[in-house]
Amino acid sequence: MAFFEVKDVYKNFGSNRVLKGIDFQLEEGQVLAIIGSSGSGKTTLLRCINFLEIPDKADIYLGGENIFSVDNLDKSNGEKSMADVEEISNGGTDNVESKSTNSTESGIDMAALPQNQETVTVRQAKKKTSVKISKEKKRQIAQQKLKFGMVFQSFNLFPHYNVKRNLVLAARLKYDKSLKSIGEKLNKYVVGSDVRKNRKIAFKEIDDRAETILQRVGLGEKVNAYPCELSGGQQQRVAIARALILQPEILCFDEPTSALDPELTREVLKVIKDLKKDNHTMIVVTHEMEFARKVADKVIFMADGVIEEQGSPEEVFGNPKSPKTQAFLQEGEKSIDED
Amino acid sequence: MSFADVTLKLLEASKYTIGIFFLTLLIAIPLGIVISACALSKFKPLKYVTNVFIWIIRGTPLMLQIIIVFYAPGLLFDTPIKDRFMAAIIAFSINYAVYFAEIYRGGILSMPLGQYEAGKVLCMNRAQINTMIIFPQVVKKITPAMSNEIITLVKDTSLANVIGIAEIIITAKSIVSTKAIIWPMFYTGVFYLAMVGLLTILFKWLEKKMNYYRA
Repeated sequence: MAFFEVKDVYKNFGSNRVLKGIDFQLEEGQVLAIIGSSGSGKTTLLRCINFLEIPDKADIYLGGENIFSVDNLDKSNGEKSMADVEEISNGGTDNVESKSTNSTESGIDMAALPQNQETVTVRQAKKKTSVKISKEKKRQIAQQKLKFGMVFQSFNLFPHYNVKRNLVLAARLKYDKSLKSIGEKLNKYVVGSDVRKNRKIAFKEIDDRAETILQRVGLGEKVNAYPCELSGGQQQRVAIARALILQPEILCFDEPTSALDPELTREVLKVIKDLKKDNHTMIVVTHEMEFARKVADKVIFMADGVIEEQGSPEEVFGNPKSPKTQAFLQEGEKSIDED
Repeated sequence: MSFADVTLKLLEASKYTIGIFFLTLLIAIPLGIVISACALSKFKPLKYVTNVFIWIIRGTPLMLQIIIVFYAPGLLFDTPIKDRFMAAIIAFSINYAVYFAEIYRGGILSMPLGQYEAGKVLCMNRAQINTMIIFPQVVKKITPAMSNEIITLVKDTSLANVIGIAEIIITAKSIVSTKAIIWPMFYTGVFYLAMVGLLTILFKWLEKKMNYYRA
C-alpha cells in the first residue's frame, strides 16, 4: 500500500458538487502537483486533506493506517446529511447548541424515521446521533491534524508576532498539550519545579529548531522581524518554516506563489525544491506549470471535481490523453494575440 | 462669587464626573465583551434576545435610561433606589457596554478568515486562536473607535444631572441661578476640555505603542 492514499473524496457545498470522487496515492518523499483551472476543486481537495473542510465522504490512509473515514453522503439523492457535517466543518470546536439548531433545520427526511412520528421525537433522536458522531469525528480529526502542514496562498502569518514567535507558538502549545496530568499542568507555573525546568529546556529546543529551520529557508537573520517588514516571498518562506516546525508527515501548499511576482516565486519554489531533497512528502496546488513539470514526481490534472488525468510529469505534460488536459495545457502556451 | 470660589466648587463637583467616568469604564468594558459574545453566539435565541436588547439600549436616550433605572424599581417593586450615584452607574454601564459590544463585534468580524485557518492548521483550539491570535489584533483595530466612545462618555456624564447628582453642570447651574452670574456655566467647558485633552494624549500614546506592526 502506498504511503499516503486518498479514496473516494466527495464534497458538496449546498447543491454545488465540488468534488465527485477523488482517488490518488502518493509515496513517501514524493511531490504531488495538482493543476487545473480555477473552480476545478483543487483547493477544496487540499482543504479536505487538511481537515479545513470536512469531506462528505472520504477514506484517508497514511502509512498503511486508516486515519480518517467519513460517509455522510446520502446515496438516494446525493445530498449530504447536514446534521453531521455542519457541526464538524466548523473546525470541530463549536458548542453543542449550535448544532442542535442546525439539525432541526436540516430537514427531517434524512433521519430515516417513520413519517408519522411527532416532529419533537425526530428532533431529539437526530440531536443525539449527530452529537455522538461528531464528537467521535472531532477527536479523530484533532489527532490527525498534526500530521498535515499547510501553507496558504495569502501566507496568513500572525502580524502581531515576530517571525520567531510565529514559528514557536504552535510548537510550544503542542508541548504544553503533552503535559497530561493536572499536577503537571499546574506545576509549570511553580518556580523551581521539575516540570517547569523541563519545559524550559523543551522550549529552548523549540527555539533552536526554529532558528535551524529559518536558516534552511534562508531567513536566519530575520528571527526578530515582524511579518510586515518582510517581502511577500520572505513571508511565504516564514509560513513554510512555520508549517515545518510541527514536523508534519505531509506538507500541503495551496497556490503558494500566486500572490508573488516571478522573482519572489522563484525563491519560494527553490525552498520547496530543497525540501524535496530532505525527503519531505508534499502536495502542491499550483499554477506554475514549469514547477510541476520539473519538481513534481506526480501530477494530477483536475477538471469539474474529478481527476481528469494523473501520472508522471512526462506523461501528463508530454503526452496528455484527455482532451480537457490537452486544451488546458495548450491554453497556457498560447500568447494573448492569438485570441 | 470669586473666580477661585467657582473653581473650587466645580473641582469638587468634578469628583462625581470622574467617578461616573471610571466606574462606568470599569464595568462597561468587560460587560461589553459578554454582550458581544452573546451577539456573536451561534445559539440563535441568545443572539436574537441580545439583538433586541441592543436595539432598546441604542434606540432610547441615555437620559431616559438614567431616569428609568432611578425611578422604575421604586414605582414597580416598591424598592426605591436610595443611592442616586449607583443608579447613574448602572444606567451608564449598560448603555456604554452595548456601544462597546458593537465595537468589539465589528473588530472581531473584520478579522480575516485566514487567521483562524492558520490557527486551525497549527492545531490550536478555538480558545487559543481567540486569545492568542484574534483578540490581540482586535485590540489594536478597535482602539480609535474606543477612544471616540470613551471621550463621548466624559461629556455624557453631565446627563447624570437629571437625577440630581451634583456633577459639574448642575453645580454650575445652581451658581448661575443663585448668584445671578452666567460665566461659571461657560467655564465648565474648560473642565471637560482638560479631561478630554488628557485622554487624547493617552490614546495617542497607546496607538503609537501598538504601532510596532501593521496588519
